[in-house]
Amino acid sequence: MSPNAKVPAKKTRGEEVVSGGNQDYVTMTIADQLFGIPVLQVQDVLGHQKITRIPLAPPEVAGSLNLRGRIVTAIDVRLRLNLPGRLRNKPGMSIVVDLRGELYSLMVDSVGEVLSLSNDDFERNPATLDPRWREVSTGIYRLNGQLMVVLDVPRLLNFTTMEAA
Amino acid sequence: MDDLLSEFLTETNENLSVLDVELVRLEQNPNNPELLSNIFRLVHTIKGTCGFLGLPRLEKVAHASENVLGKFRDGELTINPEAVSLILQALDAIKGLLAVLEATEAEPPGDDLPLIERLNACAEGKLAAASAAPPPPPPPPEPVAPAVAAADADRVSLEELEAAWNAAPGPSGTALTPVAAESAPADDPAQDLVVPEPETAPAAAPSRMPVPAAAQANGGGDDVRDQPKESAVAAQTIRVNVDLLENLMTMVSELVLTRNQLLQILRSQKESEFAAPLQRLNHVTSELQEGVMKTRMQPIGNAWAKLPRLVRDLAHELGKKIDLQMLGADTELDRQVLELIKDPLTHMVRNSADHGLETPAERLKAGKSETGRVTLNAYHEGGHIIIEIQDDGKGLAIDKIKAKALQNGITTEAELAAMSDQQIIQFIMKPGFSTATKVTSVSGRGVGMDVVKTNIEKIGGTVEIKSQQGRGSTFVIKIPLTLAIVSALIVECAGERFAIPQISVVELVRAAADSEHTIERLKGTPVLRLRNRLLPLVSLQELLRLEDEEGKTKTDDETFIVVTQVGTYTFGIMVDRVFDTEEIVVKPVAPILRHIEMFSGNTILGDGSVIMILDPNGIASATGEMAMGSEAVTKEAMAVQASRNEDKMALLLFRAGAGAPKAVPLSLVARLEDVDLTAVEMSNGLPVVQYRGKLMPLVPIDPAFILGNEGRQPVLVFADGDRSMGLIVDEIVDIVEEKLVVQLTAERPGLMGSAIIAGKATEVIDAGFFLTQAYKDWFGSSSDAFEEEKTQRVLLVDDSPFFRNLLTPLLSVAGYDVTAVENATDALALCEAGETFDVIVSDIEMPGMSGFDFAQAIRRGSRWQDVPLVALSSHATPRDLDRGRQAGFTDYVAKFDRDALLYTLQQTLSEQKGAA
Amino acid sequence: MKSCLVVDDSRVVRKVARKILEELQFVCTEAEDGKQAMEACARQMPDAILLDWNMPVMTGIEFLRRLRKMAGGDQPKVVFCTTENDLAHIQEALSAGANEYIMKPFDSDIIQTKFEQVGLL
Repeated sequence: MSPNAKVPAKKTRGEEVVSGGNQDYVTMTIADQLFGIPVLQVQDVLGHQKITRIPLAPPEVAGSLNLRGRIVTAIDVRLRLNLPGRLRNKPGMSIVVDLRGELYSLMVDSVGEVLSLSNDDFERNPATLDPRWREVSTGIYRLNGQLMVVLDVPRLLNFTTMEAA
Repeated sequence: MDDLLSEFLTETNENLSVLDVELVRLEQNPNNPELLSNIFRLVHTIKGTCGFLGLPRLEKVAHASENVLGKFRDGELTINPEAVSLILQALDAIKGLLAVLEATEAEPPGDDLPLIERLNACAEGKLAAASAAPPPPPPPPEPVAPAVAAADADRVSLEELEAAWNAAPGPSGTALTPVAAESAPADDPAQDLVVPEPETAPAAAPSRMPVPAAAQANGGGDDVRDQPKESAVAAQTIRVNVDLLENLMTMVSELVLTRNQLLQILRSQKESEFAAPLQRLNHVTSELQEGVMKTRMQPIGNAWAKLPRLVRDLAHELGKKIDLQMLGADTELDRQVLELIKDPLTHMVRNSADHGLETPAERLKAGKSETGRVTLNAYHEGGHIIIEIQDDGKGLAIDKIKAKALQNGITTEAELAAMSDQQIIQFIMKPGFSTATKVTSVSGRGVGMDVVKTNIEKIGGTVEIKSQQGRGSTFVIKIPLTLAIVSALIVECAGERFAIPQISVVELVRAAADSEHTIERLKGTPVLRLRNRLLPLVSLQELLRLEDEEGKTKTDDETFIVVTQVGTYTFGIMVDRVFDTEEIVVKPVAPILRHIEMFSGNTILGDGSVIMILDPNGIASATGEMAMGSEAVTKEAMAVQASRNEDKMALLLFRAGAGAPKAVPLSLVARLEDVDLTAVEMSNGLPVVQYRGKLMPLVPIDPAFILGNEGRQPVLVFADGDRSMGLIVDEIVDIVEEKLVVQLTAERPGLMGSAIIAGKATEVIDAGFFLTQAYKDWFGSSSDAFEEEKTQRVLLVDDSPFFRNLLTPLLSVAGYDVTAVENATDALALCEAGETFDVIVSDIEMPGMSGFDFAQAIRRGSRWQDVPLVALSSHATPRDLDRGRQAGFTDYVAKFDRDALLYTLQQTLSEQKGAA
Repeated sequence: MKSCLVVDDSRVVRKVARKILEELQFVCTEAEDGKQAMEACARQMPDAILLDWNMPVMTGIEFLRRLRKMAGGDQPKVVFCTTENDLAHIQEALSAGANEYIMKPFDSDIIQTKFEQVGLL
């Protein structure tokens, strides 16, 4: 993780990141909902960034930014999930992922801790899952008092329907 | 696939390619022993290696071929076209077998008895006449692209690569010492140098340097490029995995960007201990960049390798005689670009051979030599590579193109009538177009030129076609040398910056209230008058839907126009500011943005900011003007348009009052303005308005016209020196270019006559009349008694009454005493009569005696022998200028350029005075 | 370990030869033509040379003649390759200083036999 990361990586008892029964997730919050992305998919975590707007881009594409010499496309996840956009005075944070060689910066409300969760606890999307998350989720974890939705990054970044617009 | 097999396929295919070229050369130079022994050796090698791999069928064919070649070499058999054809057929058969071998890893069952028998017969000198013109062999499947073996392994000069490495001082000496053979990962030192996983490449590369090792292992490599005659002068080469090179390229690009960033930071520091080392780094990076770029460069000859054979086969198939010349084969260009143009080039050569060149009989009848010539010429020109494909055939069949265009519904009869030949030729680059009467296997499937054009434009290149009936055609391709790092102009619009590739920028124009160029509006569309044409403009802000910068309102103070050209269409992009040019690394946009046509990529500037790269192609499409562009004349024609189009003039059409539309030559109009009627004052009973610090009288076309007091009124401004006059009109309709044929009438003052313009009967106004309405003394007062200098006398010779009427007032205003005659004969009569003039202005194209003849006549010892003679013409090519000078003209001016005319007269006369 | 220089214009042949020779515990170097072979020998004289005939730049026999004139050039055992067409050259080769000849295509057994004959194995 880069110096920009504000998240301590928590490893349990010196275990490797992906050991027999556990997976580590970087957690984040979007619109008061907790999400997780497998840590191996996460390239970087960034604080507020200077973003260049891209004219004529779909609204979900907030713009682009320069990350150590690579151009990263910033995606406003709220808009992507058809949620109202973030308020201007709330800076937000970003999680950088790599999809097929391209870097994307997912703009979320805040980034939480890295949690190590047992694979046994992973559940498929229940029928009661909020329909807004269903499309971009691979499954969930029930944590103490909270639901964590596991984000399906490729589906999240599947903009084909929007490209046509 | 087995390593050995893939190596065999690669090597044999390479050899076959070389053999194709060499055999064609042999046919043309039968007495070249070197050629012969080389050919023999290659076939011998093929035969030999077949044995190692247990490929009996291939071996037999190769063996039989080798026999024949052996006889050639020993002089027992003469080299004739039939024999060469036979060998080529055998090679094709081998190619076919190789293809099956690659696909199935085994030889196809069966044998090639008939072929072998013919080969043996040939070896014994008994080649049957029937096989002299063999049916064209089924097109051999394209020789196995060694996708199998080390995908596109590159041949790179050892020196270049070493130079590139040496330029970058390694962390320690170990980077450059030869590593023992054990480091090469077992398999294939000959094939891949290093076979790194792409991720580990950056780390692995510096620590493993098997380059010299491989060189040692192989004992160095002779340069075995496609023209092996150079093998005597060997540049050492090695084979390098293409992925490795790509990685190197990427890393170097990143290095370049980082270097730029560092330099940027340095610039803001006054003194810094970083300065010296950074300069060194800067220098080294540039060299490294250059070196690595070179590894991507390959001679274009590589793309031409298959052409000799192709042309030879075509010639035989079509019964024509064709001589293929390839000039500039060692002109280098980027490997990627080379790949992309291979097919287009082949297609165009095929076209020339098939459609362009005539049969020997036809050629003789046309007075040409039997053998048609196709010439390929490649050379560098300012960051581009130019490739010309020329044939001396019969040129493009304009009539057939017209017919086909009509048939395909691309155009109408009316449109065709208005087009020049050059414009009509452009149709062949439209999709689905083909004028071949039969679809031959050679060309004529109609998927040709438009695909060529698209492919070439995709890489930022252009295609131009020139053709002369009966003489031949030339295709000119212009492509940028490299795709990776380009020069780009940085511009700003609504606070955002963008990059425009330098090759697309034709020129930059600043338009402001106080500059000589201003943006005018024609029916709401902004245009710029640039020299003698009107340039359509597009607002980048509107196009990209950019909002104004926060806190700043858009002022119209200053706009910059980037004049850009897409194919043959030129237009201007309006931006707020222009910065300088930077070298940028083009990075493709993310997939979700690829559909946005306006951008061709994005990049990181020296200051770290990410900006989008504009694509002029996309901009042109977006403004919907592509259709217009594709029918527009070529650049050359455009520049000479005003002077070349047979008396076509730019005319401004407008409405003023009831009745027919009206027109006035655009060249007379200084500006198009919109006057605020509330600002109009009365002066001496005439309406005037403040204009540029002076009072400008407003004159209506119809004297009974009454000006309103509010709203706006369009006005045509005529100006001379610092005097201007506004001609009041109701509406500006259009600007057209038409041949003007005025039927003169003297019905009303202010009217010169009528003409058919844009299909309508239009009244052509006499600007001079209105000028005198505004200023009685516009054309000079005849009662000016204080003339100290003798007024200069000008003789104007022009057969067109329109022009006489146009130029006379012009010259009078400038203070000359003008006499106008309508032909040279009348002028000579004046000469006989003893008239003298200070300067003669004469048209060239006149019925009866032409301007040239006129000039020669007076120069031959007449009274006017030494009078300066200025030519007026619609034609102004260098050749015309020369001819003019030789005939005796002192100077040459384009007909419609009144400023130039006045200036020239002034110059000529002052010179004359000086000399006197 | 003994060293062998494989001289042949075909990569395929060199590859095959290398495989065979390495199994026979030889350290191999390669040359594409007579000139490269000369350079290799100048750097280090090999124990054995497997030599092809038909090569560009400098042919096999040309190289052989020069080799035998070099300092230490009489040391390497030279086995040259021929196809049946070159039978006429065999005599010439042996006179020029070749130790033995083998026919193409060869395999491990053939190489082994010949090398034993000349005392390399």
